Amino acid sequence: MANEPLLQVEDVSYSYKINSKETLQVLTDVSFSVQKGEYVAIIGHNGSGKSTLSKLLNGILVPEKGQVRVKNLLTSDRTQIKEIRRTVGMVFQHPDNQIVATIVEDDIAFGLENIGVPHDEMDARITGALEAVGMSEYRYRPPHHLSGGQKQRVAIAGILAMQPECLVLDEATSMLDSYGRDDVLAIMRKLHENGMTIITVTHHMNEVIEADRVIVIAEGKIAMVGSPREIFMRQQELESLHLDVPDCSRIAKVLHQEVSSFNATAMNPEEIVSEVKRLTHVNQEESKS
Amino acid sequence: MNQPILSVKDLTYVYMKSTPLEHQALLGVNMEITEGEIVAIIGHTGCGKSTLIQHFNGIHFPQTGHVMINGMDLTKPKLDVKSLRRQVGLVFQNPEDQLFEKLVGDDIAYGPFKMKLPLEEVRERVKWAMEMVGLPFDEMKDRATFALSGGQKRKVALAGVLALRPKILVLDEPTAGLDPKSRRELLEKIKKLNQEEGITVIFVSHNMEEVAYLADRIYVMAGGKEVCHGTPEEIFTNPEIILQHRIGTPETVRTLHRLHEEGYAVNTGRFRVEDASTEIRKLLPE
Repeated sequence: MANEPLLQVEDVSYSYKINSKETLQVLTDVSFSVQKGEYVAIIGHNGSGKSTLSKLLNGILVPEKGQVRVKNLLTSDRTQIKEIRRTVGMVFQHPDNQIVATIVEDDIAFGLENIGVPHDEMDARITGALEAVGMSEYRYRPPHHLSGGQKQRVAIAGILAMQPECLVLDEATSMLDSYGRDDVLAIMRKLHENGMTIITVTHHMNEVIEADRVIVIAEGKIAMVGSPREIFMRQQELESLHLDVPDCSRIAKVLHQEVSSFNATAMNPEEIVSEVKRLTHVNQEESKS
Repeated sequence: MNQPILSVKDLTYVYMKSTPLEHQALLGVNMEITEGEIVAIIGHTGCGKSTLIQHFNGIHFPQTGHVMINGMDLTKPKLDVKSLRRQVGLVFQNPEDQLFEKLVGDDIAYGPFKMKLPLEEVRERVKWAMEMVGLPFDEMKDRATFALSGGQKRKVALAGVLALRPKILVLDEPTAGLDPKSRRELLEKIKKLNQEEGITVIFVSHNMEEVAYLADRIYVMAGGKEVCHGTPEEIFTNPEIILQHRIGTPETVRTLHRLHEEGYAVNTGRFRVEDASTEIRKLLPE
């Protein structure tokens, strides 16, 4: 089938055992699918279950109830786990948990060795991956002396080198400065343009803008789905779910209340500027005539 | 004249000195912080901010240069590190990873308990610290730490440091990884600690919205040095500093700067959402 989704999450439930008696229900009957080439943002408050959800996407966790399919492979089929992980690469919040080697280059090679990439191909892949994240000059440095942001870029390079079809980022930018974050977002955008499927779990509302589709998780269920613009119009609902909208959306709303022709759905600086230009331009035309 | 509570003079630090992996993290930092201030330290990843603040409670000691904190000279070999660590509470990145007791109250009590304070005072301190961070004492003290949300865990970690009654609170990325509501709450608590208890706050942050909200003053670091300092308004209205040192700016400031570039007369220092909205409103027709 041509339109077979890359990822299918079907009626998935998951809970953690607290002790022999109690369990903590984290996800309840969650269903959605992700098409090849899509850019999806998953947002939700702390403890909403979004991290658990991301770990279900490449078989780190296996659903208690329901199933997760990567292409046509079930993540519960442990014989397929290598193929699943080759297709869906994960980048975590704390790069320290993801970095294993004592030299950046070796760290990236580690993943490649695991999936059996021939030695003569490794060099090109490492070069390409480090270039993609702007860390080429750190190739021979020990990762533990890098800053958090630099480590995260190394971790992303480690995954990119394996050339997955889909990248899942679990709050991967939350430790980065705004330029580091912009760099990573630019990397994600470029990968997306080249056809990579991207799923990002984030707390940063201005990262959500980049996505084609936003899935809002609350109390282990899907609470909202829509384009970033649609989602950000529902400010009160988001706030009741401990979330927020970008400052620019807030400004747009205030301005729209006072000047009704101001587009209330503007959500980034560029859109605010172009609204101001549009309205002041109209005004100038009027005053001329 | 007000003596600074913390001063750093020509501080340098080299990691793995005299090895092939030698890496100079600090190249002569100077800084003066007055009691009662909230100071943000910002800068690009790898600029040395974390290395710098690890000097403030004796995790690193000055290799060359000086650090003076509340009259204590950190270069002195006979430094009372215990006393230093009581005066300076350092909250690491993701401090919730360091909770180790089963119950919230026990975790917060650990520090004061180790100070060998009378039990009654330990209890008082735990209660005070919990209330300061917005964890109701009676309701939360016997909760299991692992069953808390990320935001709550971070509050417990902060309370654990506050229970030592530090004069200076040093925070490394206090809200990274928190959802927007928990972030706002925690920032309000930090502000309250400063305003009501007079605690000097020094924090490292990448989140410029947070810097704009909290900081009285900002130090900008680049390449192991402090390159400039000023109020948020001074820093955020200066496009040269922002560009040269690759400082992120709050979204509101970015919007105002873009409008300014387009030739609109806006005050780029109006970085609160309401103020920025008012600034932009002035441009629009009636």
